[in-house]
Amino acid sequence: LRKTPIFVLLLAVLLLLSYPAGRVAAQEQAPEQQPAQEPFTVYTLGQNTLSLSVGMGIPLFFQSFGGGYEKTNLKLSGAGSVQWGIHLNNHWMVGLEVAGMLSRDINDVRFFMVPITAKGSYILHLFPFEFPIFIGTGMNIMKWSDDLNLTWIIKPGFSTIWKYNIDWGFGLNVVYWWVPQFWTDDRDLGRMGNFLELTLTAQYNF
Amino acid sequence: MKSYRAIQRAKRALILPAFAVLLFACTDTPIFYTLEKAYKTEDDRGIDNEAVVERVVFAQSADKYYAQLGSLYQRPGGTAGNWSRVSPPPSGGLCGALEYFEGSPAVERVIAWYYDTLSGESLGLYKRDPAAVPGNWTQIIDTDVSSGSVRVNFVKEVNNTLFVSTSKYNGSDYTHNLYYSTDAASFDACFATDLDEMVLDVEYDGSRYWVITTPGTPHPKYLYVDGDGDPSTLDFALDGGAPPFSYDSGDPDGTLYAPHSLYYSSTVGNLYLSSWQGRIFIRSGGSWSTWSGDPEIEDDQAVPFTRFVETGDTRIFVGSQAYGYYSFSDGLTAPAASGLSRQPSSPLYEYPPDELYNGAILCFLLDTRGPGQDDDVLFIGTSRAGLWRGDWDAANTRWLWRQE
Repeated sequence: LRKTPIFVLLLAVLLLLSYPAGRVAAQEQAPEQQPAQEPFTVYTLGQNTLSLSVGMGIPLFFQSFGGGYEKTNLKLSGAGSVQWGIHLNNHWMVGLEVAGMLSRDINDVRFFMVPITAKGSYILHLFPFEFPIFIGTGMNIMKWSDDLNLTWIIKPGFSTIWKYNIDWGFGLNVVYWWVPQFWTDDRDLGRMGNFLELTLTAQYNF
Repeated sequence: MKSYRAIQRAKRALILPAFAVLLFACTDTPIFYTLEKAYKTEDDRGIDNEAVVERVVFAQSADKYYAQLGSLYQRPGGTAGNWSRVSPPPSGGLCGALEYFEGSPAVERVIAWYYDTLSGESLGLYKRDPAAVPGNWTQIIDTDVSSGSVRVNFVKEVNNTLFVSTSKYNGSDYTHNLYYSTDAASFDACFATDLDEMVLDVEYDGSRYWVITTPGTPHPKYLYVDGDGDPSTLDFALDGGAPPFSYDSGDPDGTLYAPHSLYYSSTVGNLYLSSWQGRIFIRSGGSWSTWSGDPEIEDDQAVPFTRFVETGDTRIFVGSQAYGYYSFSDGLTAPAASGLSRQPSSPLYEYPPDELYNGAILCFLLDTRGPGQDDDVLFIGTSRAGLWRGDWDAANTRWLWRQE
């Protein structure tokens, strides 16, 4: 009697897991009608993906345009992003992303960056995983204390996504934030900011 | 289709102005460079970061600093060591005035005035030996400066003479005077009859003593000078050549509105007088002058200047209320407003501590501990932003400020 509830619980979990697996399996059966050597199709032109990512940002270093490296004097950050993408085919996706990295300097003065970027991704499929490799570029709004700067940003990176079912995927983003800050008034004051984003992501396809 | 175009037009109409606003909101501080230059400003030596630090003195005979922030604190000299509270002579007393009297013939050279926390009534003027551990307070027995009816406004050593500014309540009003002593035991009055105006500061210019008071009415009386400079026969009289005074704070014709502090630079032989309407008056070559242009302005307000300190790099700092401190060359005889630069840190993007940059400066203390400026320790006491220690950064020719 004592084991019955555990058994019922296990059965329920197995049934629950079998539902999405069945849906993806249905997709897996579809490629039978596709030409040989072609991977099965998950995405087609016009499909949308919405991703929400939350995690941490690691301030790496500042580099002067002369080549010198210095520490950022920033603490470990919180990071996150919202991304919308539209698929061009099974592999290519373009989209827009609004991200954020919030930190404090060594004196606890608040610092944050909000990049707004256009993004292009190439998705490698290895069922039940996907490996998007991407690069984004755009503008970066940066604030520290009472100061506000606007810079350019480039964000290359990759993700590992586990497809839970045809609609949902979960995974990890590893993104490098390269933020060159040119300073025309005095070139010696220009710096390249280097940060690493490690975030967990949930993506929804529709 | 029409609605789609309307949405596109609305988007363009919103995005472009938003981007323009962003561009205009940008400041001229390169944030990455500023962060790279950041250093930890909090040193955590035991003084509350929001303390009101009214005075800091250096007790040379014991190599100790004393800080007055309601309670009295002490710590070893130099850059090491933590602050510890000094027990008041009567329990519950708060320290209202502090000085180290180098000219004292006795060892009891730390002079402090205490008052009752609750009633505000004077508990007396005390002295102690800074080298004694734990050390005891001895009350100064002179009713002119140390009794229940006498409030002490400041205690200051000038030219080996100890001055005590007092205010006495006579039952209906306060009267004021300045007392002096060469032994911290017996005191004499600087003014034969008490003044209606409170004495704000006293300074010695190498030959004569100068005193400023709150402006008197109906006609302005605020600057007094001693006849012969002999501390045994102080005889103050109004200075006939004082800068013209105005009750109008709007700086009409560069007239003085409210005096604050005096400072004499023996390096250049100038006597400086700070005022609350953004001006510094300078006595050089026997007459007072100030610049002819506008007063120093910040946020459309005249900068109220407070106390002075002379640093080892031919600069004089003058504190302000709410705008940090300003620096000018000690060789300047009639500083133009542009000769003053707001501090700390120039250029500003080299990580100025905001609390100091926007602070109300109550006092300075420069301790020249060694032969070079690298050895100097400069303290700044602020109102509600604690105590700051400046260590000279020779490589970047600037003071590195840390909150004690």
